Amino acid sequence: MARDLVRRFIFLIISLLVAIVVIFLLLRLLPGDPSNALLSINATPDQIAAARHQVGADRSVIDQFVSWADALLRLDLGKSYVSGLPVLPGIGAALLITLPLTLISFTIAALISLVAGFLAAYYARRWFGILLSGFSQLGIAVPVFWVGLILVWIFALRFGWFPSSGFPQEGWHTPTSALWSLTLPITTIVIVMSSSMTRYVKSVTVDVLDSDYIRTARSLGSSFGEAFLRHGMRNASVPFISILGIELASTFLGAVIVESVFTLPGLGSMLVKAIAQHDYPNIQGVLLLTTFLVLVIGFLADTIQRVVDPRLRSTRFVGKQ
Amino acid sequence: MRESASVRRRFSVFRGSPTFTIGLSFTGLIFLVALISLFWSPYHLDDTSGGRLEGPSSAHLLGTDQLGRDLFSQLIAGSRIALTVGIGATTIALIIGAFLGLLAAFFPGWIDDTLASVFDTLIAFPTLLLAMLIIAAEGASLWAAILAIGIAASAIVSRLTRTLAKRILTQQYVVAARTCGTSRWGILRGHVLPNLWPTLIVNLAIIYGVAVLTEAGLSYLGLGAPPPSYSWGRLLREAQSTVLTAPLGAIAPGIAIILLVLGMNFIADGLRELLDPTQRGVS
Repeated sequence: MARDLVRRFIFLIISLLVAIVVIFLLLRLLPGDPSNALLSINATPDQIAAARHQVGADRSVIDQFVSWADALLRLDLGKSYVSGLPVLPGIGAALLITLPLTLISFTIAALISLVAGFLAAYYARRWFGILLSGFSQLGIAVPVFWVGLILVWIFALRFGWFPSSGFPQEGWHTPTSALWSLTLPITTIVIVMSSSMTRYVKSVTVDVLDSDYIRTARSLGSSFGEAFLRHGMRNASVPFISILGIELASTFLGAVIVESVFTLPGLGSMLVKAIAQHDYPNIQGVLLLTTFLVLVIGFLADTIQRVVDPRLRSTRFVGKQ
Repeated sequence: MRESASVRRRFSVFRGSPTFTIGLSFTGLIFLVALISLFWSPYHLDDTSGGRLEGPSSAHLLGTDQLGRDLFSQLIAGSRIALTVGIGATTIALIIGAFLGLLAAFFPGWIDDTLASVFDTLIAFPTLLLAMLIIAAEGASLWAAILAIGIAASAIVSRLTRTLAKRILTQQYVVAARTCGTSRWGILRGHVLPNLWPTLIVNLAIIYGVAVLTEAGLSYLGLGAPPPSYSWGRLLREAQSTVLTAPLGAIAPGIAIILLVLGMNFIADGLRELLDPTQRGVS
C-alpha cells in the first residue's frame, strides 16, 4: 500500500512537471508573439523591439523557461502584460467565485444523481425509470452554456427573479446577494452534471443489482435492502469514487464556461479574457492551476479507491485474475 | 425473391437496434440540411434586407438578427461547420490515436511505458482546456479548433487502442499465428485491426459528439472560427443579448446541437448493440 502510494505520488509529480513544460512550450513554439499584447496595430519597429524585450521574447526559449520556472518555484507567476497586476492575487480573487460555484454545484448534482441513478436502475422497466434514463441521456448532448442561456431568458429576463449576470461589487461581504447571483449558474451546472452523473450511477447500480453476490445474499435470506447495503454499497463505491473524481473535474470545467454566460469574474472569465488579449502570464497561471487541480483530484480519487477496495492495492494480484 | 431477401437482411440492421435507427435519422437530418445548404439557402448570408430582430414569419422562419440577416439561413449554414469539425477532429484523433496506440501495443518495454504515461497525463487534461491552450497560441480559427479538438481527443483513442490491441495480442489465435511465422504486419492486418475496429468505431461516434460540443463551446466563448462563419456556438453567443425579444434565435441553434450530438451518441449505443452479439437484446 505505502509503496504503491509513493509510486503513484511520483507519477503525479511527473505529470505536473510535464504539464508545466507543455503549457509553457506550446505557447512559445506555436506562431504568435506574446509582445502582441502590449502593442497597437501601428507600432514602430523600435516599440516592437522594446515590447519584445519587456516580455523576454528576445531571449531563447530555454532561457525564458528557466527564469519562468525559477520564479514559479517561489510561487511567483509573474505580472499580467495587460494590467500589470501580479497574476497570483488575481487568481486568488477569481477562485473565490469559481470554487464555491464548483463545490456547491458538484455536491447538489452528486446527491441528485445518486438517488436518480439508483431509481433509474431499480425501476429500469417502469416508465419512471425510463424517464430518468432519458433525462440522463440528455446531459451528454446538451451544451452547458445553452442551458444557462435558457435559464437567463426565463428566470432572469422574463420573470426577473434573479440577476441575469454579474456578481456583487462587495463580493462575499454581502453573502445573500452573492449567493443570489450564483443561483442560476449553480442550477445550470446542476442540471447538466446531475444528468451525466445519473447515467454512470445507473450503469454501476445495474451491474451491482445483477451481481451474483446480491443473488447469493438474497437466497440466504437477506432482504433486498440488507443485501444492497451490506454487499452492494461497498462494491459499488469503487466505481462511484472514480466517477465522482472525473465528474468533479468536469464540473470545474463546466463552471469555467458557465461563468462566461453569467459574466461572473471567476477563473473561466479570466482565462477567456487572457486568451483574447494574448496575456501569456495570466493564461499560464490559470491553466497551471486548473491542471494542478484536475491531476490532484484524479490522484485523490485513485487513492481513496485503493483504501476502499483492497483488491486494487497490488497490481500483481489484479494481473493474476 | 433473392433480391428481396438480401434487402430484408440489409434492413434487418434497423430492426436489430431502434437506438441506431433513431440516431441515424437525427444525424441524417443534419447531414441532409448541410447538403442542401451547399446549393440552396433561403437568403444569402450577407442579405440584410429583413428588418432588424424581426419575429418569425413565413418570410423568415426563425426571424432575423440585429443586422436584419435571416437566422434560418445562418442555422443551416452552421450545420456545415458542425459536421466539418466533427469529421475533421475525429479523423485527426483516429490517425494520431490509432498510430500511437498500436505503436505502444506492439513494442512493449520503454516505448510502451513512456507512451502509456503520456496518454494518462493527456487524458487527465480536459479536451476543452487543451483546445483553449492551442488556440491561445495559434489564434482563433476553424482549423485551429479542429486541430485542437482532434489532438485533445487523440489521447482517448490512443489509450483505448493500446488497451484493446494488447488484449488481442495475448489471445490464443495470435500466439498460434506467431508460432506459424506470421509477421507483425500480418498479425496487425489479419487479427488486430479486424478485432479492434468495432470498439474503436463506437468510441469515434462518441468523440464526434464531444467534438461538436467542444467547438460550440469555443465559438460561444469567442475562441472558435471568427465571423463571418456561422458556427452554432457563435449564433448562441450573438443571440444571448437579444434573447428576450428574439428567443427563437437562442433556442434553435441549441436544439440543432442537441440533435446532432444525441444522434451520434445513439449511433454509438446502437452500434455497440449491433456489433457485440452478447449485448443484443440486453438494453
